[in-house]
Amino acid sequence: MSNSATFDFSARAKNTQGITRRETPLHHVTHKNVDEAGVRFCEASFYAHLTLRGNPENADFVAGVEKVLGTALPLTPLTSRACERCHVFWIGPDEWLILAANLSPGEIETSLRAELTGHFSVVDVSGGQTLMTLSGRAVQQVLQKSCGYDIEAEFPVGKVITTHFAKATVVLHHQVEGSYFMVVRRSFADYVWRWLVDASDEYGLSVSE
Amino acid sequence: MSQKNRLAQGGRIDRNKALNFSFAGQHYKGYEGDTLASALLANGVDVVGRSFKYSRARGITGHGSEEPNGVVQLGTGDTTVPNVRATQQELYSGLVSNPVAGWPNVNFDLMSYLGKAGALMPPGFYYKTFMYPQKLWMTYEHFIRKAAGLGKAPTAPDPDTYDKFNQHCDVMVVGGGPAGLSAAYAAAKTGARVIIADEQSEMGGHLLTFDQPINGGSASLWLAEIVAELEAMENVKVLPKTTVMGYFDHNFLVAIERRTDHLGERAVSGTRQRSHRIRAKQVILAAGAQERPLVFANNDVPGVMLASSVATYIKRYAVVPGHDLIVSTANDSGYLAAIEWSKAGRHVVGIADSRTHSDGALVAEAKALGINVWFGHAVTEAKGGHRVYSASVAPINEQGDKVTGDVKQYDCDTVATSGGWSPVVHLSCHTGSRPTWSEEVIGFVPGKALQAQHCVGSILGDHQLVDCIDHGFDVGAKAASAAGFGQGEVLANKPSVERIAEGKAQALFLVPHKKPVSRAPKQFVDLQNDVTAAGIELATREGFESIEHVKRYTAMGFGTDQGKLGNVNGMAIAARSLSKSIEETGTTIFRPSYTPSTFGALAGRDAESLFDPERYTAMHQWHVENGALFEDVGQWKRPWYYPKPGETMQESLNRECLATRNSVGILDASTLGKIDIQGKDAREFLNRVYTNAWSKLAVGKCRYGLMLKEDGMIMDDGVTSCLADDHFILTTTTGGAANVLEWLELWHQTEWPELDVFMTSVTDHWSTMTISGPNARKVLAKVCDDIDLDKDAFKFMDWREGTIAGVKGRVFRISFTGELSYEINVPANDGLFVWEAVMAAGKEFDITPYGTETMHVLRAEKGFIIVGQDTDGSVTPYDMDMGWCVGKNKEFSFIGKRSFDRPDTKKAARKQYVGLKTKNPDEVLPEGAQAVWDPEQAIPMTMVGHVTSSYYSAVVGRSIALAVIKEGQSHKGDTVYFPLADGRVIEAEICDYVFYDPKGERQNV
Repeated sequence: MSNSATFDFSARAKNTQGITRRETPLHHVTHKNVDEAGVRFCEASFYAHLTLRGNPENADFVAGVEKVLGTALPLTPLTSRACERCHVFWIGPDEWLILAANLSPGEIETSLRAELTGHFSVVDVSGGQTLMTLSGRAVQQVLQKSCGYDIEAEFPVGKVITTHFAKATVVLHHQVEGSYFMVVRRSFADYVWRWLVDASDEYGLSVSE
Repeated sequence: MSQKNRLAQGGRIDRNKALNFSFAGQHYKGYEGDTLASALLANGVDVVGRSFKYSRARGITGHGSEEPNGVVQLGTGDTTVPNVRATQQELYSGLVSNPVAGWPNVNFDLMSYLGKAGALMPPGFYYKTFMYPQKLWMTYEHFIRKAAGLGKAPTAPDPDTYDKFNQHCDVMVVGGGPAGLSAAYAAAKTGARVIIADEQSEMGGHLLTFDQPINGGSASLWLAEIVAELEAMENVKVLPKTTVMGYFDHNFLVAIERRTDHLGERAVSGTRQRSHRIRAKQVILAAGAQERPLVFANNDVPGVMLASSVATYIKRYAVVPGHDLIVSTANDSGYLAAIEWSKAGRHVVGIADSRTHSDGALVAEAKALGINVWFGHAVTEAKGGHRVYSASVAPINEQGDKVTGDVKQYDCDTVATSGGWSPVVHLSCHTGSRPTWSEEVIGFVPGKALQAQHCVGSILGDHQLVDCIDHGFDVGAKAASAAGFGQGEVLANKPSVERIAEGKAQALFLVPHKKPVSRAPKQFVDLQNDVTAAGIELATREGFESIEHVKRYTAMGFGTDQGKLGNVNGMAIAARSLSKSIEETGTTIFRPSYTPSTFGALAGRDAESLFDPERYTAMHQWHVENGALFEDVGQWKRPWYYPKPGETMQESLNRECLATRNSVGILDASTLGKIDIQGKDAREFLNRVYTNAWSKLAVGKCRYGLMLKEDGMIMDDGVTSCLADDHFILTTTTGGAANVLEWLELWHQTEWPELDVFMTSVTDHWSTMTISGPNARKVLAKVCDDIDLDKDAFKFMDWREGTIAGVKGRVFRISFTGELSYEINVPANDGLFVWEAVMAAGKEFDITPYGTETMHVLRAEKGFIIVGQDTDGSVTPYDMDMGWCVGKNKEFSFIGKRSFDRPDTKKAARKQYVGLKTKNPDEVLPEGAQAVWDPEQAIPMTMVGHVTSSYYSAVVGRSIALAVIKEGQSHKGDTVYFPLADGRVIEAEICDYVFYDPKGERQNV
């Protein structure tokens, strides 16, 4: 029966747009940036997140997805593809995660449903998770404090893994050299943030919008 | 007090940096580079503690992790650490230390009078003496433990931080002596990722004590070069001050790095200790060997030390721990103590060498220095209380088991002994490998490697520096090659080292005395636990033949030092007493942790608010602002209730319940598990995992479903809605969400892969808010204008898509309160906004937020079950009177159906779900209270059921409870009794489980 939330009420008005108002999972946190920070963090707000499932051996499915997304589906385990429109992560033998900065999830879902036939599933999970980006000279140490995976040697650019960050399940992607994407479920975002702040403390943390 | 034992020159200390410290309330000075032990010896402190059982005065014996006596309580208050080995604690300015043993103090000790009556305390003394009466054991134990005095744990939370670091490497090297450094260097040269850890403050191992020329120059020069080169290599991590405390399966090792313990009691900034979780492809154990003392009479008197420790204190710390030295040795290495002692300008009385002769280089050097060497002799007894003042030296036979001539007394204040070197087999034992006895090494060596493990150096009994370095390079290259780097060839020039002439060592453990073991003064084997040679012989006479039993009976090896010094001697004595060989007697094996580890380092940052994830809904901020108290439901923080100033909990609940029944309440239900199911076989899949039928559920409709395990017992429940003919959304209990998804995937993937269905968790995607009460429709109408809310157009158990406060979402007309109720679902990014809009719209109806507790009361008034509260994995749908929810005519079976035919499931006398009304309407039964028919019966009473839920209901105006009672459904109207632990007996009447609106009219308005 405790309440150890780290909510900062003054941050409430952030992310206001239009008539309605949306909040990212980390809308409530504030951070005082450190000079010469060893770790850089950003919550990439309001990306479209969609879970796509289907049979990779079904050529029509694979071709249809490529037509809609503008990039081929990554069929090799733990790989990713990206194009101007979106990132596609291999999650499982019949599961992919689509991330898009500038498309609405509804748009993607509608296009996929219009193009695909047979057995597949597409689910909008945009509200259920958030994209965090991590970089900086000490980012690897922070990941070593948080994940058991061999970030140093087994995690080349482009790779995607579903692993743990402290005690939360995350999808981790080495996006460009030294810069990582981390997809976190919404309800775990505050915990992951607090862990990250703690783990970054000795290196300095700076947060950008 | 001055540092009377400190030499003017030499040592790896910085005389320009004097440090103040205290021990047992006395203030002293030492230097940077000292350990607490070296600084105490420099100041001439002889007594550092009292022994465990006999409370005898004890002094520092060793110089590393093997130290049994110099165990101190470091620091005070919150940051105090018990049982720190003074030999491993680096000195810092202001260090405060106290002895752990010795009550009330080390120099005058009550317990020692008990010790004087030593013969009265044989092994098993406590077991034998304090056995009766049994109930008094707790009292005895309190005083025994206080007397034992093994340090005190801090009572306040530790203010320092500890963390964990995951490391991966190709080659892990344990031990930074010459063998380990050579191995690490050779491995690193291939490009392999290498980690080398050593528990000491600096790398070097035995080279820090014994400066044998390497490449024709000083060993310390070579040491400095190789360490600098390793540190400069990008593929190498050099971890000094790091103890590999455990070696686990799959080449996983845990190493604890002491980052600030050498700087002060409190880590001023940063992490005090870091636990490295190392996953290595290949492991090289180069942990070295620990010198074994000889066992002789009164060998525990302060001033009796290991020969290698005496040499180390002189060479490394420039401390000569006495004036007049006698060495007793069974090998050449013991001579080093005398040589260094003599070179330091102090008096060596003589060296008693148990062997008949030796042509070793050290022996020659000692003789050249003019030191007396008595071959065929040994120190048989030390004399002294707080410090040795003389030693008895006697000739002994070649077998080392009999005194053959006159005993001579020599005045001395220090006796250095060497019985040989015991390889540090601990880590290899952690993997489950039993060490094997080697007659050649005169020690246990690592057994068969069970993992990708190599050993090199004196852990194998190779004590020659040339072998350590030479083999080190070879093993390093070999391990790297096995990890995929290089061809196993050494890609560096091996340094040249000369082989030293060495005499053969003798296997001597217990030095004979004029008197038999049982009559001689105490000959200590395990100094920390006061285990004597006589004690071990007694144990074998009493029938303890297995070494594991001897260990437990005598407590040998049970101390914080885990018998690092004593075990081998103890095993040898037990073997002789049993007339067996050491090999036949065998050894006890070691388990992690190698040295005591602090809990902080094991916990890391997984503590306090980071111990476990706390999951929040999108509306959490609002709940916090509005004064909610929270309840843990799984990892979720759910609003429990929203107290207003001055309200008791019951008053809050009454207010929240009545507001919902009379106007409208709102609940954050976002934590309910939600699973999106798509595919043409989704319907059939639901038919198989739920008890009820789904074939005819139309688009736009919702249905309650019960899920069972194979055993026919209720596992989960929830409402599933049909979004399209091939698309459903299933809800689960909050706590069951992850398990249910795994369960569904398990059945789909292993049993029914032919069904075309995909499942995706959308729990976090949707924010869910339930508005409930007679005014719910009016509130919804204010924020939603594109759904026809007419009671006949949007019926109970329908769902509609629409816009709520401008946000696209779904509205489900389902009810867990029995009231007119709508469950609004919007994407979670919009959750807080929509919640606030609904609150604003509901203001005129005094919309009242309620939490889980009110939710529980409202549903209990209606008799709705909560899986996991009213069910416990042992009840069927029929037990819960939910036969209506079980499909009788489904084509395919459903999970759990077959178990309905088990005799136990079918029997009549099962516990059944009922309601309870207490005789006194204000009395609320405790949940879990056991029911009996007859409260007058003798204990143990026959229990017939228990209370599953119990509350005070404001709307009913009395207490209500739900229960499972044996054949309860046929006992309605009967009285049942609940005898409580406090002696009260509560009387209640069995009734229907629906307490409010029994016809269910309110949810249909």
